[in-house]
Amino acid sequence: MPDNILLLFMKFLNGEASVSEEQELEQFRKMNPQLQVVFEELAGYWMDRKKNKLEDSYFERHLQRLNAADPPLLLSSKNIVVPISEVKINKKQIKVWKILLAASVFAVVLLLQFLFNKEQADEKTTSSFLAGETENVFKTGMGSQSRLTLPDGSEIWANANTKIYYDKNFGITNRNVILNGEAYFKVAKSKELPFCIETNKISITVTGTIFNVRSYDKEFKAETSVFEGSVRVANKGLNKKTFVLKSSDKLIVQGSSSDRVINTIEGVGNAANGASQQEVLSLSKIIFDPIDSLVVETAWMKAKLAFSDESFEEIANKMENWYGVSIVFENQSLKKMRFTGRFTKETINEALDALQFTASFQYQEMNKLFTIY
Amino acid sequence: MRYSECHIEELQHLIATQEDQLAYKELYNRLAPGMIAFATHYVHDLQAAEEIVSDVFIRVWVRRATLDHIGNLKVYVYVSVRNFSNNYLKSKKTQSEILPLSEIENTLATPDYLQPQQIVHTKMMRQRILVSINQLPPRCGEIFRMAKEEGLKIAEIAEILKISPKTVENQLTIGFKKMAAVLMEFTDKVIRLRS
Repeated sequence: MPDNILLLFMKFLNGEASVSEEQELEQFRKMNPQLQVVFEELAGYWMDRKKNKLEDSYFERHLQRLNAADPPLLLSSKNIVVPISEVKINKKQIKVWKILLAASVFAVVLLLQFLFNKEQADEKTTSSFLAGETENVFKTGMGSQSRLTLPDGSEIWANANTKIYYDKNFGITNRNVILNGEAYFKVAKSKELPFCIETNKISITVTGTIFNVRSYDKEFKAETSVFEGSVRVANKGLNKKTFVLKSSDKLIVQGSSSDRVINTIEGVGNAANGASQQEVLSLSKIIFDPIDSLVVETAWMKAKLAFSDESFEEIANKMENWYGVSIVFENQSLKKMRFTGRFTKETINEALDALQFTASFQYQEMNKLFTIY
Repeated sequence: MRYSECHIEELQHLIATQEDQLAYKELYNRLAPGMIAFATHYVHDLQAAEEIVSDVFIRVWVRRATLDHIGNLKVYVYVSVRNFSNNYLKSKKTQSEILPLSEIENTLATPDYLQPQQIVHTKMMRQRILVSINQLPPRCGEIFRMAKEEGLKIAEIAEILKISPKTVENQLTIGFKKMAAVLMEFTDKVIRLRS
């Protein structure tokens, strides 16, 4: 077999062959069918990577070195998963330590000031709702999810692009959190301290239950789906109603946020009183798919992007978070098309291609910006 | 979310933004085996190699806040291993003598997901391939291992070893030819046995 073909094949196996190189390889394989077995064996051997696993002792030894480094680089106490050994500081190190400590205190003050100013700009609700002076912020980036255990033992599983704020007295004087995004809550039981969640559209009060909340500030819709126990949801929009949701209930509050009002004002002049009419509250049941026992509301936790009879606009929002891209509609009427679907490992292009099977639209990609037309 | 299913970039992001220790552990467990083998190639001492890799990961943790700025973390840590190894050798002032690949192989565990029969077959074949790869110049063998076992791209290997991509390609072709020769011999036998 010629050398260049071998190299091409290896590039192909490592996923770095260009289109023309793949064509060249394909042509060679077609002309030499007798070599098929050799190609298969080569591929089999090459792809059979040794899954080298280190014993846990390696990471433990590494942690010991990490902790013994000077100055100690302790892994933070937040969500501790690894034993942190105590580090003895000898007298020589103390001087250096003091300087470092002073420097780091100064740095932290600067950082807090920076963060505080930054947060103040985009989160006005924060300061009034949270009593404590310093608050904790938990964030997930585009296309990533994370889990958080609060001081009271409640568990939160946050979907992509979500921010959760809770103050330093959380679990002592209050159990208040502010949510911008989507999260699955498993609230620890406590009759004395109700667990309150504030978003820019709804307020939720519970004592101990399991439920999912989707309320991104930038979206017009807030969804609360209850899996266990009961949840009290108050609408902050124009129609200030309070609902008590039971297991498998789902409440959707649509178009009540201030963004919506601004939107209508920005629109045509005669929509001045349109805001109140646009607000829709609807109570339904959780969508459970018996085929693969998947609940659409929490599909994101199983690394699935699922939607059930939702508008393209809503789906685009989910896709933006899921894939970490931006999607814009050039043709506004396309926003109203409705789809039901489910994606797991598909790329965004594959997902959009799949949607194109059932609807006629085109899309263009440029630097993670998808334009639908 | 399962950390084992995250891409390196995702782990990198979790460590940078949330100081996520589970992500850090996953990153270590995923990259350290290859890095230790790579360091052993330079320093011929498994314990020293482990310490070098540990130092690189300490650096990763110290610089976690800026981790998001690193475009290709895998290349970054391998380059760091190379530099740290060179420093180690300089400080020890030992002459570089390269450990045969077989010794590296033996220090790392064999896969546990293969059926017994398959293991015999692949073990024999592997042994034969290893023997022939071992007869290659050490540098060539290491490049081959980096591409095959660590899935590093030609351009990445070139960057890590500071050599031209063309050189990497040439070296890989030599290794791949050896591998193909052994495999052909084996498949020939299989075909003959069947007929």
